[in-house]
Amino acid sequence: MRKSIVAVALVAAALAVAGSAGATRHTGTFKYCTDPTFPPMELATASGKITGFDVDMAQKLALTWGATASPVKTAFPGLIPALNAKKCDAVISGIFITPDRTKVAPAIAYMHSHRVLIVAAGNPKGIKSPNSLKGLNVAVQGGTKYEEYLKALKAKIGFSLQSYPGDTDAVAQVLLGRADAVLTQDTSFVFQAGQHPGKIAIGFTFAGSDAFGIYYRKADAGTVGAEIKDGIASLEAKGTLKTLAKKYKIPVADVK
Amino acid sequence: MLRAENVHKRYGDLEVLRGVTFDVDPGQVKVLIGPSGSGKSTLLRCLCLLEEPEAGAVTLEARRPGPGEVGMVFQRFNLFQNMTALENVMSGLVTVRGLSKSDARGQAMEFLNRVGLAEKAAQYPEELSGGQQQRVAIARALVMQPKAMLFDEPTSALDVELVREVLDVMESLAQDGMTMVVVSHELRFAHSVASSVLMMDEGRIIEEAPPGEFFSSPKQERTKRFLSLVE
Amino acid sequence: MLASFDTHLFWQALSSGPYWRGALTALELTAASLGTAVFIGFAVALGALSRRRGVRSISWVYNWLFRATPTLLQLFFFWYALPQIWTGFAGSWFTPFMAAWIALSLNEAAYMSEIIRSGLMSVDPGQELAGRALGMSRRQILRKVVVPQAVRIVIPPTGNEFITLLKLTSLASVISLHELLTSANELATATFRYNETLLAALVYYLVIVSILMVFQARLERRFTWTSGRRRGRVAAPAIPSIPHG
Repeated sequence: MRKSIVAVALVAAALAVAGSAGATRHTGTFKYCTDPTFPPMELATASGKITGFDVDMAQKLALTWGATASPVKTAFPGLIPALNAKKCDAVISGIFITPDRTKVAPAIAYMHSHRVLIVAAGNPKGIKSPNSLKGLNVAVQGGTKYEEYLKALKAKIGFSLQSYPGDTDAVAQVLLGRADAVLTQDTSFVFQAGQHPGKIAIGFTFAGSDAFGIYYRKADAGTVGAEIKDGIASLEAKGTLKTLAKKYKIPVADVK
Repeated sequence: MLRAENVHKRYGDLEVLRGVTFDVDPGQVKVLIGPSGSGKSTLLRCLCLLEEPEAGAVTLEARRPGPGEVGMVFQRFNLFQNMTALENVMSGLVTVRGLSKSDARGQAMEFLNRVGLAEKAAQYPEELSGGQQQRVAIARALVMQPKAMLFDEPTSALDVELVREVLDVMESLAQDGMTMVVVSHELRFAHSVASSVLMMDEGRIIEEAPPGEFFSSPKQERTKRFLSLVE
Repeated sequence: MLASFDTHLFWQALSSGPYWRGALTALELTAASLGTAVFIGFAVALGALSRRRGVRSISWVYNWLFRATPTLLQLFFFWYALPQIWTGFAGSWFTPFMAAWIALSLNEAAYMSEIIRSGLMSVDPGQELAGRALGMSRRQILRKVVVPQAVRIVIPPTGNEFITLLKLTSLASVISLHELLTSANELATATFRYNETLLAALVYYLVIVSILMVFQARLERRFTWTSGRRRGRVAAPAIPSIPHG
């Protein structure tokens, strides 16, 4: 608790300095890369506007250092490369913190959640564990850790795997009846179940949890990285993230 | 033998043949002359069933001509570009008469020989001169053993020095007794082989006479005028 | 600081199984789609040249429909919309390759029909006249005289269409077809290196197109009707390629 108060004080002081400093500090617009195909974390509405938990969080985060957040639409596999190419200063996109990624760019965790196998309502193929997928049709979003995991599993037990550009596309395959299961996050299930009541169910929940993180460039550790760290701490202290979680029907315990 | 009876033909609003009655007997050579637009080519096309008249009938020996029975030689040769000279001549035999390639080849060579082009058998039309192409076209039509041969300005598209070789073939055909109808401006040819010469104007036959009489004392005013332009 | 080029990764990518299989898939899809498109396109072209107005309208509507809609949209339709019309299309027999093959064939057929129609129209009408004078049926003339000459004319623009189609196959990745670009992208995201991985994919595309160009040249020579001496000179009128959406 104390650490957070100190952090908030630091941020306030820093903000005071920021106005006059300019060069190394972030002002104006906070650009972050995101792939809006992973509701409720980020999604594009019919009018093309991007909304979601991550979007709201990014906005609140930027406010802690007096900037406004602006999403940069990027395909999921290209998120970290876009960060390194300076198309944005951070990646906020329901993306896990994993060692191979943090090797390239550091990340700050803000939420935990579980992976799930989504199946058709009533679980007609009786999928109770990953091994139940043997011989079935599975859909997944391409370029994700989900896909990586499923490829390894496929090599072991054997099933048909189809990869799609967006998470929603993959879930659609279960709704269409083409795929028997989709590997994704429980956050995604919460949203999709709301969109298609009674059509889908969770077949299996993975025990371990993953942390969603905000990635930033190694070189910016002292600037953007510090701002984000402080910002998240401040939002946590104020309980902002929990309020957002409630808004998007994400289990409150999962967020910081 | 080959007869057009009161044939009418129109293209859209234009009436090209206004009731033409024409016939040619076996062994006769008839030459058609007249200004452009008079309907000469159209009449020829009706005679070999390339066009269907709106009214009137075309008959060969009092019945409808069968495929290949009336041969046609075109002003622009129209040889099949994707076939050799020999294959061109064989084409009718193989496709229409159903002959085997080996049988057709023998007959085709005979007729290529007849027009003096045996050594060009393996050449493509692209590689032949205009006169040679026309002679191949004649062989192609002849090999079908037609009852009559029609020629639509066969030498008009040829360079002057190539005209002779084609006319020689036509003259030799006439001497062999082939029934021919020729549209041409080659008046010396008409003089030497025609049984009669006909003048067409504005879709009608306005005069017919043996060549001697036709050229020296034409009866119609329009014929006189046309001849003075052409001679 | 200039980033270094990882030659080892480049060669690794170039010789990897996924790249090879991806390239093969792209090539198979292209060949299958173009083959089918030529057949359908020929029928549509004949329809467009028909003397009956009803038949001409069918061809017109076909071309209008498939040229106006973007290829990507058609891919989506066959993959996502069809199962909603009949759930059978959600079965595993209806693979992404099959859906892409159907969509690309139907799409390409519209463009091919215009190319073929131009080719047929470019053949001297005197050829048909001569055929009819000999007593040949319209179908015989088409088969023995007009189509061979039209083929010669359409070979170059069809070669173009092959190349366009080859590049269009990468669109099928959105309906989960695993082809060359997918493999390249996967390797790029796993290694975070785009130069080497994409260059290797480029090499495959270049090789395929080069092989096509050799085949096309050979085919053009077969359709040059000169005996021996003047081989290689093709004096056919040119037809401009029709731009794609």
